[in-house]
Amino acid sequence: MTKLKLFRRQGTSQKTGETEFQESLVKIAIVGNPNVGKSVVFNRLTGRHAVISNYPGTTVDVSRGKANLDGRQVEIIDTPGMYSFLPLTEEERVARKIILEEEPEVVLHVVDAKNLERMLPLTIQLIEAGLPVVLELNMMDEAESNGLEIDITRLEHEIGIPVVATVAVTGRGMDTLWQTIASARPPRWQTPVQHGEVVEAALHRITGILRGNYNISNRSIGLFLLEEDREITEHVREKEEANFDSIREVVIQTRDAYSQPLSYVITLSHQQRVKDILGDVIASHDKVRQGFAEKLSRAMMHPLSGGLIFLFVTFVGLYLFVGVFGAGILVDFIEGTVFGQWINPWLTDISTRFIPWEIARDLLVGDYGIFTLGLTYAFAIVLPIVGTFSLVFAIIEDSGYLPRLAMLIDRLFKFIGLNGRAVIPIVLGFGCDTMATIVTRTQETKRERVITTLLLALAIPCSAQLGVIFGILSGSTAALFIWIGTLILVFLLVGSLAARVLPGERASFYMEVPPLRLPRISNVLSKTASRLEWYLVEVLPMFIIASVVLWLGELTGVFSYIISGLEPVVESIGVPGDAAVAFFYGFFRRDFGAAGLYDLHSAGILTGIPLVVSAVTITLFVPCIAQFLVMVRERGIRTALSIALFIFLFAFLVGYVLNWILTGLGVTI
Amino acid sequence: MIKCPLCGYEYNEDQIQSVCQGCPLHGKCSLVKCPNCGYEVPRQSRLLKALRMLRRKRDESE
Repeated sequence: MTKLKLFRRQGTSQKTGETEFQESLVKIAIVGNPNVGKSVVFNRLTGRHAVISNYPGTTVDVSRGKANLDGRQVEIIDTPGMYSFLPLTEEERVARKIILEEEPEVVLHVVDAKNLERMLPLTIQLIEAGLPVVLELNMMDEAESNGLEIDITRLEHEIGIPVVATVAVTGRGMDTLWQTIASARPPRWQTPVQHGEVVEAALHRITGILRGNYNISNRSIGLFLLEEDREITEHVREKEEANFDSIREVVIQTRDAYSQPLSYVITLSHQQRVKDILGDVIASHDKVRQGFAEKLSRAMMHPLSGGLIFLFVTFVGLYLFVGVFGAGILVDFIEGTVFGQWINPWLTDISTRFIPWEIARDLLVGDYGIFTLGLTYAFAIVLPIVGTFSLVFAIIEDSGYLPRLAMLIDRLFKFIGLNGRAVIPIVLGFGCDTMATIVTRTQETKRERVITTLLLALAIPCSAQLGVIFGILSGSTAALFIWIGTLILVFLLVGSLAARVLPGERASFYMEVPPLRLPRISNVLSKTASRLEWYLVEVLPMFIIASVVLWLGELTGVFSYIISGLEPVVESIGVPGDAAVAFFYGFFRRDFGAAGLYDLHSAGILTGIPLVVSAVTITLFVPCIAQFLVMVRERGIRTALSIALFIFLFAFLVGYVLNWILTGLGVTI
Repeated sequence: MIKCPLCGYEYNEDQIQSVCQGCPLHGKCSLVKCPNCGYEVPRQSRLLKALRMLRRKRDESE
């Protein structure tokens, strides 16, 4: 970890005169969230003369340029995007380092005027740190066309710093911004927000103990210490030496007073302060429309209403459209008529006539043939389901529901004691568990990575498997709810047990939630087409390879040996031995295994309780080969094998218990 | 520019390469990964791209 250089800022104390401050103006740092137009502002100020280089020791780009301000040459720095002054990403760390170490005389905070509620918490943090902040409300034209009216004077009065409205792309307001920067006054130490009695008392005690000189306010240092920011804590430890133990004691006592992490508590008070400020500053001419979208957005993230909305989306989007229409009507036609009556009989006939070798015929049109198994599964069973699923998923993505679902899952995670940052890989897992397992490396601790890898391999079905399972269970609502209920129960149980077995720090989860909008048909169709093309290019070959491997397995007798070993295990959970083949397919690809069950279900071999039990077991069942290889690569062979073995045993245990309960209760499905 | 459906971050093809370095496929797959949150979306369909180009050419010739 690179040490932070924190020195007392020159010329920013209350005693420093305005003239001295302006003469010393040499550096301006542009900060703000990604996508707020920082680079456009940078280009406007510097005239596009920029030097882009990696920040030392990182791969993060920083642009620097020169500008002329009232005859003086100043350096302008375009910092990487940051959401919070308490950094989570490398970009945010670099942006904070620039502010703390390079001591810019003006910190120009660029925000998107349409999204002040999301962006002003950073302004509050910068003011709280005693930095010389100028606030630029960019994209004012878009805010106005959205019906927003912002009272700039009132906002300036509320937060005590200069505020300028601009449209950087057209240049509107840029002259005023330049003049404001040129006449910027040194910052006043401010307390823009009250964090509640306990945190304020802790801040009072910490600032009383601090003896070192820092180039941001002691209050801000105190907040970083309470939020247990590693870099600042390490720096203060070195600077305060003997006093550090007393500071640590205050931090621990304050932390113990809350059930939530202090970073979360402090973030909430920043957000609340921003809401209070904006209540008087923003007027909307489109209150009815905005009010409904805002209400719907909140409802989507609320544990109760969000859960009901999620069930509704699942029922209509996945059950009715993917399950009943895609997996029912479409698959019945394509598998039963197109492949069953036309393509496969024709190919079998041609093979019989032109290929004299039985082995070669089997490879193409036998029980595990490339055409009769691989391509039939790929085109007749999985493709219609992936197609309908992709369409629903594209609508969900384009509407902005996905980030809200992530926030909802985050609340569930907090409830079971898991880290909110696992949300992203878990949400990704519904697309592809293999890729989601790679994403777990973005999590901070080994504990988090292992738990998330386990949950992905166990309880998160990938999109293709999910679609096929919905297809199998679409004939019975009861079966579907038993499947969903069991998986949620397993997820909560294993998640909370794992979180307790592997104790460690919990981190908070922050995510920008973009506005809700009506999905655009062109976007939805384009995304669906892209997903289908991806499926055909990358997944289809896997089906063909799996067919060849199965054919080889049958030829050598290895396949029968494995199947005969799996049969008694499958029968022990009340499922016909024939389903052992489908479980074996599941090793190759999750959806391939589910398609095997689909086949048995269509043939009338798998119905009622055994159908639900096998659907639950195959969903929990071992990760596919690709996911397992990634697990080995990411977590090591020992952890990957332990997880796979645990899942194998646990999946059949859950199947056994479920079968026992459903049979014992005499449930009819 | 690609807009991430999960976090709203806008990014271009150049930024994708840096986040794909750790993956065994090294960005050679049909997915693009958001540098901000890691969310993956399929690359724009080549078929659609080709159709759009054809349409543009036809419009230009008319």
